[in-house]
Amino acid sequence: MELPEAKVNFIVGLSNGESLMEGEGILAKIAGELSPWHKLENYLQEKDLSIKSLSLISKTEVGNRHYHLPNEKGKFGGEVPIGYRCFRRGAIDGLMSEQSYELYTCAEAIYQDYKVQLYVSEIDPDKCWVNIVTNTNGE
Amino acid sequence: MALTQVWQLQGATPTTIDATDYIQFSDGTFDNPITVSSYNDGTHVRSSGGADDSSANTPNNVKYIASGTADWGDGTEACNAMLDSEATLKIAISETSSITVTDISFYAYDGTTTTNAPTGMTVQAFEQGDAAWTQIHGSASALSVTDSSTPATDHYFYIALSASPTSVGVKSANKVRIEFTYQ
Repeated sequence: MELPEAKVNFIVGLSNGESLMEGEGILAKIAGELSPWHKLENYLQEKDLSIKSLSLISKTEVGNRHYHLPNEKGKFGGEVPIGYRCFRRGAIDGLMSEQSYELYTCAEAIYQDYKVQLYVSEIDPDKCWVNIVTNTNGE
Repeated sequence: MALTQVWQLQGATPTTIDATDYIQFSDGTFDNPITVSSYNDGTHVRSSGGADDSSANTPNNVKYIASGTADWGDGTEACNAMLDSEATLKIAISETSSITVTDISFYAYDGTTTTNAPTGMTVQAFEQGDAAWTQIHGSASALSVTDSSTPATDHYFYIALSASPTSVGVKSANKVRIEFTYQ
Protein backbone atom coordinates (compact mmCIF):
# COMPACT_ATOMS: atom_id res chain seq x y z
CA MET A 1 0.00 0.00 0.00
CA GLU A 2 1.33 3.41 -0.96
CA LEU A 3 0.27 6.27 1.23
CA PRO A 4 -0.22 9.65 -0.44
CA GLU A 5 2.52 12.25 -0.34
CA ALA A 6 2.21 14.36 2.78
CA LYS A 7 0.13 17.50 2.27
CA VAL A 8 0.85 18.97 5.67
CA ASN A 9 4.34 20.41 6.07
CA PHE A 10 6.25 21.91 8.97
CA ILE A 11 7.74 25.39 9.25
CA VAL A 12 10.35 26.13 11.89
CA GLY A 13 11.65 29.40 13.22
CA LEU A 14 15.27 29.11 14.37
CA SER A 15 17.34 30.84 17.02
CA ASN A 16 19.25 32.81 14.33
CA GLY A 17 16.01 34.27 12.97
CA GLU A 18 15.89 31.92 9.99
CA SER A 19 12.62 30.35 8.91
CA LEU A 20 12.69 26.99 7.10
CA MET A 21 9.91 25.04 5.46
CA GLU A 22 9.77 21.30 4.85
CA GLY A 23 10.27 20.50 1.19
CA GLU A 24 11.97 23.79 0.32
CA GLY A 25 15.60 24.97 0.18
CA ILE A 26 17.91 23.01 2.44
CA LEU A 27 14.93 20.95 3.62
CA ALA A 28 14.02 19.71 0.14
CA LYS A 29 12.84 16.13 -0.05
CA ILE A 30 15.23 14.35 -2.40
CA ALA A 31 15.32 10.61 -3.11
CA GLY A 32 18.17 8.87 -1.33
CA GLU A 33 18.92 11.80 0.96
CA LEU A 34 17.89 12.26 4.56
CA SER A 35 14.27 13.20 5.16
CA PRO A 36 13.62 16.92 5.69
CA TRP A 37 13.33 16.48 9.48
CA HIS A 38 16.66 14.66 9.73
CA LYS A 39 18.25 17.28 7.50
CA LEU A 40 16.97 19.89 9.92
CA GLU A 41 18.43 18.03 12.88
CA ASN A 42 21.84 17.94 11.20
CA TYR A 43 21.61 21.62 10.28
CA LEU A 44 20.79 22.58 13.86
CA GLN A 45 23.75 20.60 15.13
CA GLU A 46 26.20 21.96 12.54
CA LYS A 47 25.19 25.57 13.16
CA ASP A 48 24.56 25.20 16.89
CA LEU A 49 20.99 26.43 16.51
CA SER A 50 17.71 25.61 18.17
CA ILE A 51 14.06 25.69 17.16
CA LYS A 52 12.10 28.60 18.57
CA SER A 53 8.76 27.95 16.88
CA LEU A 54 7.05 25.14 15.00
CA SER A 55 3.96 25.38 12.83
CA LEU A 56 2.20 23.16 10.32
CA ILE A 57 0.85 24.41 7.03
CA SER A 58 -1.41 22.80 4.48
CA LYS A 59 -3.02 24.02 1.30
CA THR A 60 -6.66 22.98 1.17
CA GLU A 61 -9.48 23.64 -1.25
CA VAL A 62 -10.61 26.60 0.80
CA GLY A 63 -7.17 28.16 1.24
CA ASN A 64 -4.05 27.73 3.34
CA ARG A 65 -4.34 26.34 6.84
CA HIS A 66 -1.80 27.28 9.50
CA TYR A 67 -1.55 25.41 12.80
CA HIS A 68 0.69 26.93 15.46
CA LEU A 69 2.20 25.57 18.64
CA PRO A 70 3.05 27.81 21.59
CA ASN A 71 6.33 29.63 21.04
CA GLU A 72 8.75 32.02 22.71
CA LYS A 73 6.32 34.91 22.27
CA GLY A 74 4.05 33.25 24.82
CA LYS A 75 0.91 34.61 23.19
CA PHE A 76 -2.05 34.81 25.61
CA GLY A 77 0.23 33.63 28.39
CA GLY A 78 1.18 30.37 26.72
CA GLU A 79 4.04 28.54 28.39
CA VAL A 80 7.22 28.48 26.27
CA PRO A 81 8.28 24.95 25.21
CA ILE A 82 11.80 23.65 25.87
CA GLY A 83 11.87 21.85 22.51
CA TYR A 84 9.97 20.84 19.40
CA ARG A 85 9.60 17.83 17.16
CA CYS A 86 7.63 16.96 14.04
CA PHE A 87 6.77 13.45 12.93
CA ARG A 88 4.17 11.47 11.02
CA ARG A 89 2.02 8.82 12.60
CA GLY A 90 0.60 6.08 10.42
CA ALA A 91 -1.82 3.27 11.18
CA ILE A 92 -2.52 0.53 8.68
CA ASP A 93 -5.18 -2.15 8.98
CA GLY A 94 -4.80 -5.35 7.05
CA LEU A 95 -4.28 -9.11 7.09
CA MET A 96 -7.76 -9.96 8.32
CA SER A 97 -9.45 -7.22 6.31
CA GLU A 98 -8.95 -5.12 3.23
CA GLN A 99 -6.13 -2.69 3.85
CA SER A 100 -6.95 0.83 4.94
CA TYR A 101 -4.90 3.53 6.56
CA GLU A 102 -4.84 6.62 8.72
CA LEU A 103 -2.04 9.16 8.47
CA TYR A 104 -1.34 12.30 10.49
CA THR A 105 1.37 14.89 10.70
CA CYS A 106 2.14 15.82 14.28
CA ALA A 107 3.86 18.92 15.61
CA GLU A 108 5.01 18.45 19.19
CA ALA A 109 5.87 21.07 21.79
CA ILE A 110 8.04 19.60 24.54
CA TYR A 111 7.85 20.71 28.16
CA GLN A 112 9.67 19.41 31.22
CA ASP A 113 6.95 17.02 32.31
CA TYR A 114 4.63 16.75 29.33
CA LYS A 115 4.28 17.22 25.60
CA VAL A 116 1.57 18.95 23.59
CA GLN A 117 0.93 17.13 20.33
CA LEU A 118 -0.97 18.81 17.52
CA TYR A 119 -2.15 16.23 14.97
CA VAL A 120 -3.41 17.23 11.52
CA SER A 121 -5.03 14.62 9.30
CA GLU A 122 -3.28 13.96 6.01
CA ILE A 123 -6.54 12.59 4.63
CA ASP A 124 -8.46 15.74 5.50
CA PRO A 125 -6.07 18.52 6.58
CA ASP A 126 -9.02 20.63 7.73
CA LYS A 127 -9.24 18.31 10.73
CA CYS A 128 -6.91 18.42 13.70
CA TRP A 129 -6.80 17.61 17.39
CA VAL A 130 -4.48 18.01 20.36
CA ASN A 131 -3.11 15.43 22.80
CA ILE A 132 -1.25 16.12 26.02
CA VAL A 133 1.05 13.25 26.97
CA THR A 134 3.58 12.67 29.73
CA ASN A 135 7.18 13.47 28.85
CA THR A 136 9.03 10.32 29.86
CA ASN A 137 12.35 11.90 28.79
CA GLY A 138 13.23 8.80 26.80
CA GLU A 139 12.64 6.36 29.65
CA MET B 1 6.93 8.54 -4.22
CA ALA B 2 5.46 8.68 -0.77
CA LEU B 3 5.65 6.15 2.02
CA THR B 4 4.88 2.55 1.08
CA GLN B 5 4.08 -0.34 3.36
CA VAL B 6 4.16 -3.95 2.16
CA TRP B 7 3.10 -7.06 4.06
CA GLN B 8 4.49 -10.38 2.88
CA LEU B 9 3.74 -13.91 4.02
CA GLN B 10 7.19 -15.46 3.96
CA GLY B 11 7.96 -18.91 2.58
CA ALA B 12 10.15 -20.58 -0.02
CA THR B 13 8.96 -17.62 -2.09
CA PRO B 14 7.30 -14.65 -0.37
CA THR B 15 3.65 -13.90 -1.13
CA THR B 16 2.75 -10.23 -1.11
CA ILE B 17 -0.50 -9.58 0.72
CA ASP B 18 -2.19 -7.07 -1.55
CA ALA B 19 -4.66 -4.46 -0.34
CA THR B 20 -7.71 -6.66 -0.93
CA ASP B 21 -6.10 -9.95 0.24
CA TYR B 22 -6.56 -11.63 3.60
CA ILE B 23 -4.28 -13.84 5.64
CA GLN B 24 -5.94 -17.16 6.35
CA PHE B 25 -5.12 -19.47 9.23
CA SER B 26 -6.18 -23.07 8.66
CA ASP B 27 -5.77 -26.58 10.04
CA GLY B 28 -3.04 -27.07 7.46
CA THR B 29 -5.20 -27.22 4.35
CA PHE B 30 -6.37 -24.07 2.62
CA ASP B 31 -9.96 -23.18 3.53
CA ASN B 32 -10.13 -25.85 6.27
CA PRO B 33 -11.13 -24.43 9.65
CA ILE B 34 -9.12 -24.76 12.84
CA THR B 35 -10.72 -26.67 15.71
CA VAL B 36 -11.82 -24.39 18.55
CA SER B 37 -8.96 -23.82 21.04
CA SER B 38 -6.34 -25.21 18.63
CA TYR B 39 -3.80 -23.06 16.82
CA ASN B 40 -3.04 -22.79 13.11
CA ASP B 41 -1.22 -25.53 11.23
CA GLY B 42 -1.36 -23.57 8.00
CA THR B 43 -1.06 -19.91 6.97
CA HIS B 44 -2.12 -18.75 3.53
CA VAL B 45 -2.88 -15.62 1.53
CA ARG B 46 -6.47 -15.64 0.36
CA SER B 47 -7.46 -13.31 -2.46
CA SER B 48 -10.73 -11.39 -2.37
CA GLY B 49 -11.99 -13.90 -4.94
CA GLY B 50 -11.19 -16.82 -2.64
CA ALA B 51 -8.04 -18.12 -4.35
CA ASP B 52 -5.00 -19.37 -2.46
CA ASP B 53 -2.40 -16.88 -3.67
CA SER B 54 0.34 -18.55 -1.65
CA SER B 55 -0.26 -22.12 -2.87
CA ALA B 56 2.91 -22.32 -4.95
CA ASN B 57 5.13 -20.53 -2.43
CA THR B 58 5.41 -23.03 0.47
CA PRO B 59 4.32 -20.37 2.97
CA ASN B 60 5.71 -20.28 6.50
CA ASN B 61 3.47 -21.27 9.38
CA VAL B 62 4.41 -20.39 12.94
CA LYS B 63 2.25 -22.02 15.57
CA TYR B 64 1.80 -20.97 19.18
CA ILE B 65 2.81 -23.84 21.51
CA ALA B 66 3.30 -22.11 24.86
CA SER B 67 4.32 -18.69 26.14
CA GLY B 68 7.98 -19.03 25.17
CA THR B 69 7.81 -21.69 22.47
CA ALA B 70 6.60 -22.05 18.91
CA ASP B 71 6.69 -24.50 16.03
CA TRP B 72 7.69 -23.13 12.62
CA GLY B 73 8.10 -26.55 11.05
CA ASP B 74 11.04 -28.00 12.98
CA GLY B 75 9.15 -29.04 16.11
CA THR B 76 8.85 -27.04 19.29
CA GLU B 77 11.58 -24.43 19.74
CA ALA B 78 12.20 -21.36 21.86
CA CYS B 79 10.70 -18.25 20.32
CA ASN B 80 14.03 -16.46 20.33
CA ALA B 81 15.53 -19.18 18.10
CA MET B 82 13.41 -18.08 15.16
CA LEU B 83 15.33 -16.56 12.26
CA ASP B 84 14.08 -13.60 10.21
CA SER B 85 13.31 -15.94 7.31
CA GLU B 86 11.23 -18.23 9.54
CA ALA B 87 8.83 -15.54 10.70
CA THR B 88 5.29 -15.46 9.35
CA LEU B 89 5.40 -11.87 8.18
CA LYS B 90 7.92 -9.54 6.67
CA ILE B 91 6.69 -5.98 6.89
CA ALA B 92 8.47 -3.36 4.81
CA ILE B 93 8.12 0.37 5.36
CA SER B 94 9.86 2.42 2.69
CA GLU B 95 10.29 6.00 1.60
CA THR B 96 12.33 7.64 -1.13
CA SER B 97 14.18 9.75 1.43
CA SER B 98 15.89 8.24 4.48
CA ILE B 99 13.55 8.05 7.43
CA THR B 100 13.50 6.50 10.87
CA VAL B 101 10.59 4.32 12.01
CA THR B 102 9.86 4.24 15.73
CA ASP B 103 7.10 3.70 18.32
CA ILE B 104 5.79 0.70 16.41
CA SER B 105 2.89 -1.29 17.79
CA PHE B 106 1.17 -4.31 16.28
CA TYR B 107 -2.14 -5.67 17.50
CA ALA B 108 -5.47 -7.26 16.61
CA TYR B 109 -8.86 -5.80 17.46
CA ASP B 110 -12.54 -6.35 16.77
CA GLY B 111 -12.47 -4.25 13.61
CA THR B 112 -14.40 -1.38 15.19
CA THR B 113 -12.71 -0.15 18.35
CA THR B 114 -8.95 -0.40 18.55
CA THR B 115 -8.94 -0.91 22.32
CA ASN B 116 -11.17 -3.98 22.03
CA ALA B 117 -9.92 -7.55 21.75
CA PRO B 118 -10.64 -9.45 18.55
CA THR B 119 -13.95 -11.33 18.61
CA GLY B 120 -14.03 -15.12 18.83
CA MET B 121 -10.33 -15.71 18.55
CA THR B 122 -7.04 -15.55 20.39
CA VAL B 123 -4.22 -13.87 18.48
CA GLN B 124 -0.57 -14.20 19.47
CA ALA B 125 2.53 -12.57 17.98
CA PHE B 126 6.21 -12.03 18.61
CA GLU B 127 8.97 -10.18 16.83
CA GLN B 128 12.08 -12.03 15.73
CA GLY B 129 14.39 -12.04 18.75
CA ASP B 130 11.63 -11.93 21.36
CA ALA B 131 11.63 -14.60 24.06
CA ALA B 132 7.86 -14.97 24.34
CA TRP B 133 4.57 -14.50 22.57
CA THR B 134 2.37 -11.49 23.24
CA GLN B 135 -1.38 -11.90 23.18
CA ILE B 136 -2.10 -8.88 20.99
CA HIS B 137 -5.65 -8.13 22.06
CA GLY B 138 -6.33 -4.46 21.50
CA SER B 139 -4.03 -1.44 21.46
CA ALA B 140 -3.25 -1.65 25.18
CA SER B 141 -1.84 -5.17 24.70
CA ALA B 142 0.05 -4.46 21.48
CA LEU B 143 3.30 -6.08 20.51
CA SER B 144 5.97 -3.41 20.80
CA VAL B 145 8.21 -3.74 17.75
CA THR B 146 11.84 -2.64 17.94
CA ASP B 147 12.58 0.87 16.70
CA SER B 148 14.47 1.25 13.46
CA SER B 149 16.34 4.39 14.44
CA THR B 150 19.01 4.62 11.76
CA PRO B 151 17.82 6.67 8.79
CA ALA B 152 17.29 4.49 5.72
CA THR B 153 14.93 4.27 2.77
CA ASP B 154 13.83 0.71 3.64
CA HIS B 155 12.94 -0.75 7.03
CA TYR B 156 12.02 -4.41 7.60
CA PHE B 157 10.25 -6.07 10.51
CA TYR B 158 9.81 -9.82 11.05
CA ILE B 159 6.82 -10.98 13.03
CA ALA B 160 5.40 -14.40 13.90
CA LEU B 161 1.62 -14.55 14.05
CA SER B 162 -0.60 -17.35 15.32
CA ALA B 163 -4.33 -17.58 15.97
CA SER B 164 -6.85 -19.84 17.63
CA PRO B 165 -10.65 -19.68 17.42
CA THR B 166 -12.54 -19.54 20.68
CA SER B 167 -15.86 -20.22 18.94
CA VAL B 168 -17.10 -21.72 15.70
CA GLY B 169 -17.39 -19.51 12.61
CA VAL B 170 -15.48 -17.16 10.30
CA LYS B 171 -13.79 -14.27 12.14
CA SER B 172 -13.49 -11.82 9.27
CA ALA B 173 -14.71 -8.75 11.18
CA ASN B 174 -11.45 -8.61 13.12
CA LYS B 175 -8.48 -6.58 11.96
CA VAL B 176 -4.76 -6.47 12.51
CA ARG B 177 -3.19 -3.05 12.79
CA ILE B 178 0.32 -1.67 12.73
CA GLU B 179 0.94 1.83 14.03
CA PHE B 180 4.23 3.65 13.64
CA THR B 181 5.94 7.00 13.73
CA TYR B 182 8.26 8.11 10.97
CA GLN B 183 10.19 11.29 10.33
